[in-house]
Parts: sequence; C-alpha cells; structure tokens
Amino acid sequence: MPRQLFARKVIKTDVLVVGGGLAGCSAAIRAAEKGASVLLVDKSHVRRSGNAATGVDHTWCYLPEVHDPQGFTPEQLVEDHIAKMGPVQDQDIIHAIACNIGERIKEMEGWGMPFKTDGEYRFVKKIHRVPTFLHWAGRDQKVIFERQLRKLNVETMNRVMIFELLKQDGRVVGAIGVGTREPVIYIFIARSVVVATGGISRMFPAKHCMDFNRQRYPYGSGDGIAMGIRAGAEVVRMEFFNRWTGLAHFFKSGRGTWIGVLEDASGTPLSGEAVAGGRSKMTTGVENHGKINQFYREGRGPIYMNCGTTSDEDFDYMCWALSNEGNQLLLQQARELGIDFHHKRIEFEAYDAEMTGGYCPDVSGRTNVPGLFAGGGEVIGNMKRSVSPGSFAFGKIAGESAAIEALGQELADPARNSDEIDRNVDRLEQMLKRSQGASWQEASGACQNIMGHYCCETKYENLLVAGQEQLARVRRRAEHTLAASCQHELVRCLEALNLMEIAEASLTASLERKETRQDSYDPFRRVDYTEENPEMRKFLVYSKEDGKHRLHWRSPRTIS
Amino acid sequence: MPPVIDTEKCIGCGLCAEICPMMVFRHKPEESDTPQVLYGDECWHCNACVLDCSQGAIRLRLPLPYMILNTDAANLKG
Repeated sequence: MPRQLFARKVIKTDVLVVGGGLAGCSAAIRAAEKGASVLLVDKSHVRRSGNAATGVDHTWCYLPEVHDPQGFTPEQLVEDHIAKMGPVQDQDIIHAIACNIGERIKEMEGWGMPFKTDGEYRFVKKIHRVPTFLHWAGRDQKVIFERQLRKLNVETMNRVMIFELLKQDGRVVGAIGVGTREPVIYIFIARSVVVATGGISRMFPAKHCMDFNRQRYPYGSGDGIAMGIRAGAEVVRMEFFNRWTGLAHFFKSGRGTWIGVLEDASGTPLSGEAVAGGRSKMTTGVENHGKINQFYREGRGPIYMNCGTTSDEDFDYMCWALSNEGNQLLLQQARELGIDFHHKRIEFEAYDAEMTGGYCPDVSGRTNVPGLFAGGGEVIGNMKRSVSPGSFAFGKIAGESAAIEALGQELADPARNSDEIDRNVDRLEQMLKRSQGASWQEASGACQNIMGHYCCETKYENLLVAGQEQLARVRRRAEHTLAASCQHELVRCLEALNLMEIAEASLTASLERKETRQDSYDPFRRVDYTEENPEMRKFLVYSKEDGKHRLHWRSPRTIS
Repeated sequence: MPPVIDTEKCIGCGLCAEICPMMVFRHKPEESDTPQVLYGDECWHCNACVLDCSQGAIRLRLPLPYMILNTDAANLKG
C-alpha cells in the first residue's frame, strides 16, 4: 500500500463556523457568548481575511438616537432599501438587520470599533433616500474582531479550507477540511454548522486578463454555497449577475466613496444621478455601470471621475473614506506618481460580472438543511450590495441560532461517514499524485470562459443548453485530470471545482427564468423571452438532490 | 511580484506570511529569514502586509496593467 499523503485529525465542537470574515467572527463570538464551544475555521487568516480585509468605510444602519429624532423608523429604512434594490428580497431579514444593527454597533463600540468620527456618528445618504450609511474608520475592524475572539477564548483555526459538509440522516453533522499549507485532513464533527464564506468572486473572466484583479475579495470562491448545494441546500438568485463600476484598471479600488462628477471625454457630465456634488450625494459609480458601458459604445469614452469642483473639505473627507475602505495603496500610488485626484480626472469603467446569488435562510439564519445555518455575504436578503450590516447583525443572529440548536443535539460518530471521507481524501490524493494533468488555472479559466460565453450578457435556450453540456464535459475531465504540486495548488483546484458547482446552478436557473427584466440592480436578458413576466417577480429556488436539479418559485417574505 | 520586502529592514518575524489573506508569501525560517513572495500574481493589493509589518519593510508594487489613467481636469474644461 502506498503511504498516505495526509495526516488525519478529528476535531469535535458544539458549533463549527466556516469562514472568518465579518459574519463568521460575529457568529462565532455570539455562539461563544451563548455558552457553546465554538471552532472558527478560516481558509485564510482571521486577522485580515474576507472582503473587509483592510477596511470597509460604511455600514447601513438604523441607530435610534440618530434616526428617531428625524422621524425615521426601521420599517422606512427597509422600505427605502427595497425601493432602491428591487422587490425580490426577503424583507424579514432586512428588517431583522435594521432592528438589530443599532445594538450591534454599540456592542462593537465597546470592543474598540471607532464608529464615531470626531465624537459623532457620521451618517450620509449614498444610494438610499434616507441617510442610512454610517461612515466610519473601519480599516482595522478585522484586527479588532480577532482581538475579541481571543478575549472570549474562541478557538480559531487558520489556513484550513473546509470543502465538504458531512451529513447523517439528512442532517449536517460536520465537515471535511484540508490544510492550505500542511498536508492534513480535518474531520470536524459539530452539533451545528454556520457557513459564512462570503460572496463569489472569480466566476466570470477577468476583464483585463489578471485573474486576481477583482473588486471583490478573490479568495472568495463561493465555497460555502457550493458545498451547501452538494448538501441539498436551497439557493436563490443564481441566474443573476451584476457589475460594479469604479476606477479603471485597478479594480480593488473600485470600492470606496468618490465625491465628484462623472463625465465623458469632452467634459459633459453624465446625466441624472451620475452627478455628485457634495457629501450628501456620494457617487460610488454602481448606479452608472449601464450608462458607462453605453457611453463607451457610443463613442463618448473614456468616462472620467472629475473631483475638480469638489470642495477642499469634501476632498479630504473622500481621501479619509478611501483609506478606510482598503484603498491605502491607491492613495499611496497617487502620491508617489504625483497624481493629484483633486486636479486630475481619472478614468472609471464598468468591471467584470459578479454573481449575486446565495443562501435564502429563514429570519433566524436556519437553512432548509437541518443543522446548517448561514450568515454574511452568501445570504441573499442580507443587504444586497451592502453586506457589512448583514454580516455584523445577521452573522450574530445565525451564530445565536446555531448555539441554541447545538444544545439539543448529540455529536455524530464520524465512523458512519468513513466511506465518504475516504472518497474525498482519495480524490485529493489523486490530484497531488498526478505528475501531469490540468492545472487549477485551466479549470478555473475554463469555468470562467463558459460563464462569460454562455451565461452572461446574452442568454437564450440554445446557448444555455450548450453551456450546460460544455460545463459538464469540462467538469468531468477536471475531476479526473486536475493535478496539484502542493497544498496551495490543491486549494485552488478545490476552489475551481466549487466555482463549477455554482456555474451549473447559474446555467440551470438562467434557463428557467424565461423573461427579460431591466431592473437597475437585477438586469436579466433572454433573447428568446424579451418581455418581463410578472409571475417571475419571485425567487427562483435552486437545489440539487441525488445529482438532479430542482427548481421552484417562491415569493419574497414580508415583515412578519 | 507586488509585495517587495526590504531585506535590510525585515526582522524575519513572518507576520506578513501568517496573515496575508491571499497566501502570497511563504516563510520557512530554516531556509531564509525573509519571507519569499511566492504567489505575487495572486495579490489583491489589500495592503494588509504593509499595514501590519512592524518594521515598515514591505511596499506593494502596482503591476503595469493596474496603472491609473488620468488627465488634467482644468485643460479639459474648455
């Protein structure tokens, strides 16, 4: 018998939290406060992992002491958000976030989170009608979360990628992980599991040929969603994608607050909301992506952000905000290269497509699979386009629910899953043993090409069916030929396979949504169904059972 | 390769390799005090290593395709 490549470790805990971003940390801390033993497992390192790695400068927030005197209620904030982002969202989750986020802000302030600037809460109108964005110096929020985890003695395991959930009798009882640096297989046995691995990046081809030049954290390969699908979890909005708009070429810096005027090459401002002149009308560019592409096509590009008319005070504010949204490098580069944003126009463009789908749990974070909870960026209804409040508040809710669930559950015996575990270990060992084979870059590139070619701007039946067939072929071949020379490459291979799981869901759901809709946040175009179908103003729920796709329509939940 | 480590300033603590959200670095003290930049093309330019390095020994070099296009605002106003 050849020597086993992996050491195996079995680890037991009450609550297993998969992912250590804002939501995972929030869930783990809450579960620990409720008295559960908690293990937080992060593919990266909890200090700087996730989309908020080096900062998020704002959070959508209802703060009673600020909003009550102005006459705003949580219900109005929810209504405002739905009006802006479209009706197909679970209002009960957004309402729960609105009702919990204020208390959450106060609690995190106690840990040292600097939500106040110059002694006050800075609220701005950004994309909503109500001033709902609390602007704050969020650069080191992950560092503060890490400190709080330590303080509560929450056990944290870094550099382990969980890639498969374990089930017994229909219930999630644990998960399998692999070291991203060390050749160790971890068998986690838990009374309940929270998935909080964030949104999906690298699903579509990179616009400028650099695969990790992404607006969203490129380590986020939708692992939680993909393993959830394999475990029978229901997911929604898999047929939709969106584009962010921001600084051209350097997509990481598309995030942030820009105060200026978006204009075409001749200096003519783009119409409507594209004109942003002050702190009350900040432009992130997200609303203009369609227009920007259109202007480029019509010969009016390049499109520029012009901060020339921005006041000194607003400009300083903008730089403060950018530095707190992870854009320290952008500001440093500008200084080094002598680019003064205040007196230069800088090019903006629409970015590559991004998936917006994910879990659709109930208002307590419970998914349709017993024992499995979801919180954070992979949850739909979780403040689409603004996930930090969802992560802070709904991550906490999911953690609390998982801790309560754990009380009544026995720990499973992993021996019952030994065949499945052996199969997975064997699969990974095969990848490491192949001296020649397909690289993770090939697998990930093939998946991105399929999504870009068959399932992006233009969709129709023949194209989508061909995409499904091509994906099935590529996936089968990848499973049998992927080769990894080290743990790092092995992780990237597993990520590519997870992206394929999600691509399959996206192609299948796109085929079922037989309509075209022009919503600014949910554009969806079928060449063979050019009209909007009011019957389809619903969630299309996708799941898999015994390898077969299952789809059904569900109306969004209202505030209960 | 985006992160550039100043070997004169680096004290070999390995924190950058430990906390990099993207696994760009590898640190094997038995081979070299200074961490290696092994997967530079997977850098997200999040700046975590720069922020967290106690010695100020790391800077990020922006790759050519990421260069910012800018023009003089005043000249284009007329």
